[in-house]
Amino acid sequence: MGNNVSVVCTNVTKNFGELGVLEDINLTVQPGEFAVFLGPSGCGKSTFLSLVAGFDFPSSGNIQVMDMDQAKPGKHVGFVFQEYALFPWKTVLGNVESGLLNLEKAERLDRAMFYLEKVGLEDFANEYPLRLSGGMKQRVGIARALAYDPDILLMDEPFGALDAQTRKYMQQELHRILEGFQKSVLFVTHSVLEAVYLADTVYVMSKRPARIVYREEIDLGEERHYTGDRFLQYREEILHYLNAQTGISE
Amino acid sequence: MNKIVMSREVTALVAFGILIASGLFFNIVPKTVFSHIGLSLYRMMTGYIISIIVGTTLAVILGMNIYIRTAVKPLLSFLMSIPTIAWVPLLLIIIGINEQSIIIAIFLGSFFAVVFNTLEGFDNVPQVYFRAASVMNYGRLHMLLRIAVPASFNGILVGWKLGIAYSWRALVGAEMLGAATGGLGYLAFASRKFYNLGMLLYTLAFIGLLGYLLNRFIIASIERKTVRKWGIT
Repeated sequence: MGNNVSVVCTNVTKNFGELGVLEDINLTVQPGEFAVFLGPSGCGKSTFLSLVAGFDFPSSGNIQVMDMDQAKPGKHVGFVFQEYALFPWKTVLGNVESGLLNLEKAERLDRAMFYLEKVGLEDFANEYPLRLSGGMKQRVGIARALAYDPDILLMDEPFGALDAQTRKYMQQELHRILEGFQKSVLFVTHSVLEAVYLADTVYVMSKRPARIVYREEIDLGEERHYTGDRFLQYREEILHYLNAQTGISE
Repeated sequence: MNKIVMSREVTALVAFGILIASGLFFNIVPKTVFSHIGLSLYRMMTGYIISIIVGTTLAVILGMNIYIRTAVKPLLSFLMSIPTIAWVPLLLIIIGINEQSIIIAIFLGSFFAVVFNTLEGFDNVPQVYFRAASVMNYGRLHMLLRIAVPASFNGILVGWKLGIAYSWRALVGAEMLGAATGGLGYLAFASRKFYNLGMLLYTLAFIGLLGYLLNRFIIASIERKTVRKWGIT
């Protein structure tokens, strides 16, 4: 692509009528960077991702995505939704193929099966989403988003609806799945553990209207586990800023 | 699941049996009943299938635009409130006492319900499907045929189901009102004239049975292959 940045937000503000949702967001996400956005519930994190996806426009300011001056929906973006948003009328395979309609049938099948294997669901190719557990549905969601090889992956609280055990497992799985792909990821969550585990960069957002109040680069090296010293140090640091926003005393 | 389906079948058959048995009290089932059944079914399928094709297609085209949808729905709601039987005198005047009047009555019976419920189905498609499709570069046609139609299939089927019920009533009504010589509605009316109670009861039995079977076998089998399998009922 020849781009040296993936997403550039310049003075991005979003209001819904009188209601201020985002205020003066400035940030840059590099190719291959995993950026996690933390903030109190309802602060506007999801709205922010919708703007980057181009589902909606900023009230003022600008979002530059890849080589586009303005964010608009397209295949440069893969979106993973909290509520999975799988098409219930399509099989697992059909869902993963749904972003590959431009390909020949054989190639489409090859590509979809490759990503289904990647998320460990090749045996479920012909099942309907109805039959899958939450964790499995979200793997299909991830496979579907990756299948057409987008530059940027937007993930809106993808593991928010999962139980604690599955959630932790999915975090490790996501890390494994993305290895070897040079994707920029913008990931929204309200779990600090999840953020520190996955991120290269963590952004803490304020209450509505959301501003960015803190940015931390995470460097865990090879020690990516939930109990390491550095891991806990990052966690404390970030929790401190987040608690200040949610009003929880330490 | 199977037990529930069985028991539903049984109660319908019992109702049918009682009507037939009551009829036997007066006289045996005459063979002529079956030619009247054939005629009614033929009219029904002609009017109904045309209304499904025209109604669904029209609704899918109109339905993509939310402004048209909002404007047309109250109109359809108004038209749906007119019992189809009330159109029949008008049809008899305009079209005449003939086969076309009956077919058009059947058509009208299901048409408004089909269009209305398809539009209603579109209103209830979760926005998130369109978002998911928009990042995959779906154009308008793909959005319509690959997302909007399957996602609102439940509403579409509700329209088809109501359509059968309304059409069947419209058919019997139109046949009764004198637009026909022949058909189950005609037979019921003629039986009254000749004080043929047995025949009247048979006619009621078959009107009920056929309406039941149409719903059971046309719609229920489509449901099983689609919305039930997808879990979007």
